[in-house]
Amino acid sequence: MPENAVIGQFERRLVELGCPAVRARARARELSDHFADLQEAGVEDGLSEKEAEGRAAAQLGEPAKLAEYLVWTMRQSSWWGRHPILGFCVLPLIGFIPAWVLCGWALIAFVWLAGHLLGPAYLVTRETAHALALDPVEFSRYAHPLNLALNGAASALVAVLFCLLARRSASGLKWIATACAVCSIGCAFSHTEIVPGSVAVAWVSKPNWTWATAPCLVAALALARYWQVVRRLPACSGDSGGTGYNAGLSPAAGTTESWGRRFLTTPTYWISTPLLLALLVLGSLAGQRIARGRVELLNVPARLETLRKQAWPAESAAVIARIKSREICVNTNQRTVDLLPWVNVPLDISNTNLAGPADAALLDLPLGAHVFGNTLFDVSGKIQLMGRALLKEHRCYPVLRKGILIHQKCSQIYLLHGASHAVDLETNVAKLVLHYVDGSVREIAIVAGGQLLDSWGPVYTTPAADEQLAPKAPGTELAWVGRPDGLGDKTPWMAARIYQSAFANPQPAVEIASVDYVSTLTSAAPFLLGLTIEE
Amino acid sequence: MRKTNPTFLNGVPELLVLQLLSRREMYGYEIVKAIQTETKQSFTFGEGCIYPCLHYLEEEDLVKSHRKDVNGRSRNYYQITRQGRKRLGDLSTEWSRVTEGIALLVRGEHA
Repeated sequence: MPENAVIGQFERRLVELGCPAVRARARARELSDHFADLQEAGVEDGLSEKEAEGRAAAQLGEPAKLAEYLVWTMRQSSWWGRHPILGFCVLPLIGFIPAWVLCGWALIAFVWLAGHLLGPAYLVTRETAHALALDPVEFSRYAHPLNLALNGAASALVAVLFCLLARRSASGLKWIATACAVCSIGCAFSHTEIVPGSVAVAWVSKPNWTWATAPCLVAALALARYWQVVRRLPACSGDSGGTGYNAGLSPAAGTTESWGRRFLTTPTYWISTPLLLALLVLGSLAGQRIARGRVELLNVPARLETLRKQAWPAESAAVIARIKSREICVNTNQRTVDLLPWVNVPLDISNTNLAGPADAALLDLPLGAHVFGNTLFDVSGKIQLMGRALLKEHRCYPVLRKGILIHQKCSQIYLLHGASHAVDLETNVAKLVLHYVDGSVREIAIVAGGQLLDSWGPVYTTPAADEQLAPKAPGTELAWVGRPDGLGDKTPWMAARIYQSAFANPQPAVEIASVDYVSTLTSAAPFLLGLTIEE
Repeated sequence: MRKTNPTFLNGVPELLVLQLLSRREMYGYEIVKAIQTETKQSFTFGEGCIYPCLHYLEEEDLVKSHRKDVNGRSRNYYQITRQGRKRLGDLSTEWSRVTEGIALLVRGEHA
């Protein structure tokens, strides 16, 4: 075989097996030198040029076999080459979130650097960020594309990283494709969200296939590059065995070892196989549970029908009757606070910004001084604050209302309040910030599931499923329910729910100067209808 | 090429290559020939064994390579590193211990 053909086939086989093109070139060049030395030795032994070339080719043997052995050695010298299942099937699954965090830090560093290099106009200060966080609409204008860019960059980064590792360890196109496929799955089931004050990075059960495309593109690029390199090299001959390069030394045994034997002799496979099986079992168990839940849900229409027809209407009526019975004030030490200067949503027919039945129902809420849950409140309208869910409805409200004047000592603070979109229980949806005359400040948290539930919900007492029907915090009760006209009788137990919560003043001996009502910008949009203090 | 190298020679090419390179820098063909000559054909480690061994040693930073022009020919020369010398010392000690032990057992030279 002529020298060029031998070296060309050797280089092509190296590339086909996953050796990086540059390294394959260097190896081929080295083999070419060796071939020339063998040829020279043949000529010195008295052979003709042609005979010397033939003997050199025979001594080197099948180039493809030599390439296979070289690549096997390269793989064995790297952890990724020795443990491809763990390296390219398991690790890429968890790669997206660290990559996202890394991209986020890189972006922060870039913004910081740009601000310091380009001047104060480009500098993002704490004040700028704080001002942005207080304007949810403006914030979402920046946060949404930023999140998209970070997700795209993280997906691509994790795929490129594992492709480079597969390439460096000469693991081959098969493992590059596998790593990209696993990266796609990992990215699809990852979720990120940027909101004022927090960044959420998590794995979710609902896939987002948009992020799965970036690793696929990386795999396509790797494939294109591979074809570009292979196309310029001569094709290998079919037979690649039989010359016994290693002359009985054990490393070659690895190249011909059966899969079964390799599995039994490789601890990584013992670890990764049960791990993958466990993932599969967990996935199938979760699937079964969801399916069983669905079946149970489908099998209980009879129970639901009974509840709907008999129990719930009666229970709703009982709840309303109890609320009515509590509309008697027994405490004369209470003083209502006039919230009118801070009201931003009127509760009369002039308000046309009614987004749902809960808002519409509030039109029936008694205005002026009225007793709700044994506490007197002066209702002059609604102080509506912002929640993230309102962004999707293109509704914008302030994040906080500052300086509600109190100027009195008190032992208890009573709120008449609620929150729409309060679906995430056990989360702080709002807070009261108490400013005392001595300059001290205290905060009182308002928790979904603790002091309030979603403003639109059932008012029965027998749950249909695993649902919370009453707030858990002591001192909180359902103070008012209402339904807008024209809603029909299909679900008479669904109503707008307003809660009355009592909070102990953390510093009863010090006069409160003012109170701030602040949204924590979760999904829930909190609102305040009345504020009363007790001496 | 003979296929008579016994299977217990794992690690021997590494030892021989490091030993040769500890004397001076050499290229692949030179190493193959040196092994054949200096072992009086006892071992016949060919190209398919020596080059993977050299590349493995290079990956492990036990040797380093560079291209060099000598007598009008450009070749890839290999040079032992400090880690390579340490590894050679370890391998030599281990080899001496193993061969002495085997010699004692095979020739019946026990106490």
